[in-house]
Parts: sequence; structure tokens; C-alpha cells
Amino acid sequence: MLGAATERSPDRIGKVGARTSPAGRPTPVSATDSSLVKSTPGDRPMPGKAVPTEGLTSMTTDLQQHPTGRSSAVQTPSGSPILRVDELRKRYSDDGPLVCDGLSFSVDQGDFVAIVGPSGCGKSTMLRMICGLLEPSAGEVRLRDQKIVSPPPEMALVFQDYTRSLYPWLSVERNVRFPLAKRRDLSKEEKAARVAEAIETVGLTGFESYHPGQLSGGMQQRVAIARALAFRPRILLLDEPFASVDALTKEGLEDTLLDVQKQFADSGMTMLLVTHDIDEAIYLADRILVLSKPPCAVAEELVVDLPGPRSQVETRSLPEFLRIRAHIHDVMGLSAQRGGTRGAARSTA
Amino acid sequence: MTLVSEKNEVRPDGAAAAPTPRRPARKFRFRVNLRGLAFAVGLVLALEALTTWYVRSAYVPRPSEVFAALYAELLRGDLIRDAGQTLQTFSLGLLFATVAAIAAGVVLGSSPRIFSAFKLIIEFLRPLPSVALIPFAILILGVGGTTGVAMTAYAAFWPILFNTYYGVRDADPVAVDTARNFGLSRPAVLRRVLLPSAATNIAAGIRISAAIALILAITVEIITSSGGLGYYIVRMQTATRTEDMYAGVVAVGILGYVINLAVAALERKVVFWKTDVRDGGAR
Ligand SMILES: Nc1ncnc2c1ncn2[C@@H]1O[C@H](COP(=O)(O)OP(=O)(O)OP(=O)(O)O)[C@@H](O)[C@H]1O
Ligand SMILES: [Mg+2]
Repeated sequence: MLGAATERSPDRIGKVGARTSPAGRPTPVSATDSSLVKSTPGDRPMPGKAVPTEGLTSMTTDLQQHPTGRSSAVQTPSGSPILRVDELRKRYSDDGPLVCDGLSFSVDQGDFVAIVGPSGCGKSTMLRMICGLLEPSAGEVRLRDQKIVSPPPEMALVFQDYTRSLYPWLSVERNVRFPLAKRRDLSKEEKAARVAEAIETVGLTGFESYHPGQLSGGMQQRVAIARALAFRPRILLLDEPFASVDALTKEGLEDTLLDVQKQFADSGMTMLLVTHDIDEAIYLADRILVLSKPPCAVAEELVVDLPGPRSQVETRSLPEFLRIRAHIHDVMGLSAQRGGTRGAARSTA
Repeated sequence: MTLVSEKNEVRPDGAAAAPTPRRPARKFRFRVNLRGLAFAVGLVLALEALTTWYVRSAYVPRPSEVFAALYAELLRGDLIRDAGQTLQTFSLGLLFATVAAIAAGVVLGSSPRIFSAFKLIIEFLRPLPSVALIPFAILILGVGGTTGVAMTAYAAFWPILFNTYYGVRDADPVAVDTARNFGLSRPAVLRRVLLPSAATNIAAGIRISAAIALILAITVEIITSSGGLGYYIVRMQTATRTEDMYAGVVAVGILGYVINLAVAALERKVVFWKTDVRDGGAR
């Protein structure tokens, strides 16, 4: 099946071995090129040297005008992935069912990886293990070859349960400032500026003194996103971050994510986005991990090779977009029928 | 950024249509409960009629006599001074209890291991009626004001302790995980997440403890004859100044009512984000 799909669109959907080597990143010029350009192992990313990026409007910039655009913003091709998830297994209790069964994948710095999978398959569980909040039953997560045992300071998770994740006794402004409180390296003014910027990014300027209980669900969700943005993690994990906002706001926030990622210093913010919305996954991500029915494993890993910069209307109507979508539907339908048996390369023929 | 914003938040020119920022309504609105007031007045009048025409006893004065006595005693200043002393014992006891119980409750609630170490002794002491310890306290601390404060604090300690404990223990794990995710240390999570999470419970505990603290303050005063409203009542009783004795009782009632109002107002102010403040388990 996978082979068939690859045959149908050899230049659009690149299948990457689910548990082999870290996925290569498509270069921007390879939009019509079939080859997946493997990043060459080289020097480590140079911290501190920021890539010049323009303001939020820069997302309309063409690749020609902006040669250090999205993907090529990786200054040095990262030899080792920033994040490596290795054979993660999770059982919540000794006699409980297996929730995750051998999750393996890796993420390069600056990657935008989307994760889709059926409800209840263990996506949230996986994210909680990745960011060090939940101990895996087996396997490990490595951040730059360091095993993660507690929440690393450069990672942030936007929880699916945003209502419970916000602090009802703090105003919007104080909720967003919450993660910055103990940061000694930032002055009061810098913190205030960051907070104001993050709140403005999600379109909540004017609501700073409101309390979460006075906001709508979608607004609360945006506060949670703003809080993570103010924190400026190197790796941002998002669990269904746009589930409660309307379609238009959602599109705006999606583009905001792309902007934020691009603007982040060095080679961009690394994003892991769990979503139920396949279109959203295709639109945003460089790579998509399709998870199987519970217990979850990576059923398939796709490289999304859509031309950038992406635009809500055009990108979504590209034939490639539609083809990838049909393919993911196929894979998800299949993995549902397989009933949890994993095996990325398993053929149904 | 107009895309992200909702229509009513942003004007076409991009300027935020600044919504009036406001905190949740926490103004203390004093509504007179007319029905309740009418019933209370009616009851007093009925009592007045009863004591005027049917029950004629030196030990059951008419309400009008009691209020007249209360007024006279207030003018004389004795009652005021005694009420002040009771209020002082009460406040000090409740304050010590609150500080100690919140600290202990947070520690117990955040560590199952510590809790299991203390569990047995807590479960033994909790059902023990505090008044049973008054003789013991008198032996140790004498009949001065210290005994009153110590006993008040002891009795008021438990409801706050348990409410804090349950509040901290039942804090939302997602809220805690969020803080851990942002790199907060254990003490920081305690202070910035667990404690505010438990605020509702703590406030309910303080409300319960306030009532208990007043009981203990008066009881100790009655037993040790060490001044305060309790001792005033005993004094008037032994002097068979029945009206004045009842005036003392009414004064205690008024004090309790005012304390309750004050605690409820404080609760609304502190736990402003919760409209329904749950009741903790009274003891
Ligand atoms: N704290 C927990 N204790 C026990 N089991 C849990 C716990 N959290 C999740 N599970 C179980 O793990 C499985 C996966 O849950 P998880 O929340 O990770 O799914 P999900 O993929 O995020 O689903 P959704 O897309 O609906 O958010 C479920 O069967 C759930 O019952
Ligand atoms: Mg989930």
C-alpha cells in the first residue's frame, strides 16, 4: 500500500523508514525534486548567532528574496537530531493496558513535526513522556544525546487540557508571565515586553487583566499558547492547541506558529504538534507522524514537500496537498483495521 | 494580526477596542433579608408577650429588659472591655492556628510519605474534643490569657489543617505539571500552584475554625474565670443579675455574627475566582 502511494506520487510523498535513520529535511528548492536531501553531518549549530529574520509580515517573503527562508535557516545541517525518541513504551499501571508500544522517531532542530493518530491512541501520553513529565515504562527520550529524566528548561508543552492548565487566580497577563517569574536573566521590562508581545500575537491585547474564568474556551486556549510563546522554548510541544477556536482564528494562529518558528534564533523553534486535523498537520508540518491505533507506534512517517512559504488558501488547494491528505486517510483507515498491530512497512497487499 | 483577533476585539484600524478590564464582581453587597428580619422581630415580640403575661420568673427576664441591660452595660464600658478581651483571645488563637495549619497542611498534602508518618497521631488527636484538654492546659499554662489563646489555637488548627491538606493533595495535576514543565522547583510549585489551588479549601477551613475558636475562647473564660465575655456571663450569673447575664449572652451572639460576616467577606475577597465556595468538613 505504501509502495503504491509512493508510486502514485513519487515526488510528493516521501516515505521515510519509521525506525531507521532520522528523517532528512527537504530543501526548499526540492519542491519539485523527488530526492530527499539528507542533511550532511557537520558542525553543531552555532548558538547565539541569530538568523536575520523579518517581522511577522516576512511570511509573505518569497524564497528567492529570502534565501535563508524556512528550511534553509538551519545554519549547519545538524548531524545528530535534537530529539530522539527511542522505543518508548508506556503502561500506566503494571496490569494496565499498553498505551504506547515502541514509539521511535527523531526530530531535527527547526523541524516542524505534526503527529496525527486516532483519539485515545496515546498522543498526549507520548508528549508528556517527551517533555519529562511522565516516566516511560521502557525506552527513552534523548535531548541532544542527554536522556530526559525531568522537564528540560528548553522545552514547553501546551496542554490539551488548557482549562486546567491555566491558573484561575491569575490574570491573563500574570498567567502568561508565570513561566518567566524566576528568570533572573531577564529584566522586568524585558519580561513585560515578552508578555505583551505574546498576548498580542494571539490577539488578546486588551484582555490582560481578565481572569481565565471570564474568557471563552478559545480565548483561554490562546492564553495557554501565549504563555508558551512568552517562555520561548527551543522545542515547543503542542497538544491540540487549536481545538476550541473558530476556523478563521485557527488559520491565523497556524500562521502565527509558522512565523514564530521562523523568527526563533539559530535554526528556528522545533515544533511537535499533535492534532486531529489532518489538513492542519499537512499545512504546518515538514513531517507527519501517523500513529497507529492503541497501543500506539509510528505507523508511517511522511515528509511533506509542499512549497513554501505556505498560504492558507493556495497551499490547501494544491494537488499535492490533497494527495497527501488522501494518503493519510488511507494510512489511518488501515492502521485502524490493523487493530493495533504495528509495523510501518507492513503491506496489505 | 487581525486574523487572529475576533471582530469585536479589534477595530478595522487595528486598534484594540479596549474592553473594560475588570475583576470578577467581589463587591460585598449588603442585602437586608427582610423576611428573616421580620421573623426575628416577631419572635422577640412573642417572647416579650410570653414573658410579660405567662412566664413570670426572675430567671427569665423580658427581652426588653435584656436589651435595656445590654444598652446600660455597653454605656458603662464593662461589656465592651470584656468583648475586646474575648476578641483578642479569639483573633490570636485563630491567627496562630491559621499560620501553623496552612504550613503543616501544605507539607502533609504535598508528600504522601510525610502524611503517612503523621497519619496515626493526627487521627488520634482529631476526634479528641478540645475542651477535654482545657484542664491539662490550665496545669501547664495557668489560668492566664495564654491558656485561652493556646486552646483556641489548638481547636481551630484541625479544620484548617485538613482543608489545606485536602486542597493541596487534590490540586489539579495538570496545573502542577504545567508549572513543572516550565521548570519550577518543588518549593516554587508549592507556593505558586499548590497553595493558591488550596485557597478555596483553606478559606472554608478558616470559616469553620472561626466558629470553633469562639466556642473555645468563651469556654476557657468560663472555666478559668480569666475575664472576657465568658467570665462576664459567669460573674452576672453568680451575682444573680439575670438581665445582665442575658445581655452577655446576646453580646456573644452579636460577636459571633459579626465574626462570621467578616470571615465570609474575607473569603470572597481572597478566593475571588471561585463563586461557589465549598464547605469543608466541620468537626
Ligand atoms: N493518567 C492516566 N492513567 C491511566 N491511564 C491513562 C492516563 N492518561 C491516559 N491514559 C490512557 O492512555 C490512553 C491514551 O491516552 P492519551 O490521552 O494519551 O490519548 P490521546 O491520543 O491524547 O487521545 P486524544 O486524541 O483523545 O487526546 C487512553 O486509553 C487512556 O485511558
Ligand atoms: Mg490527547
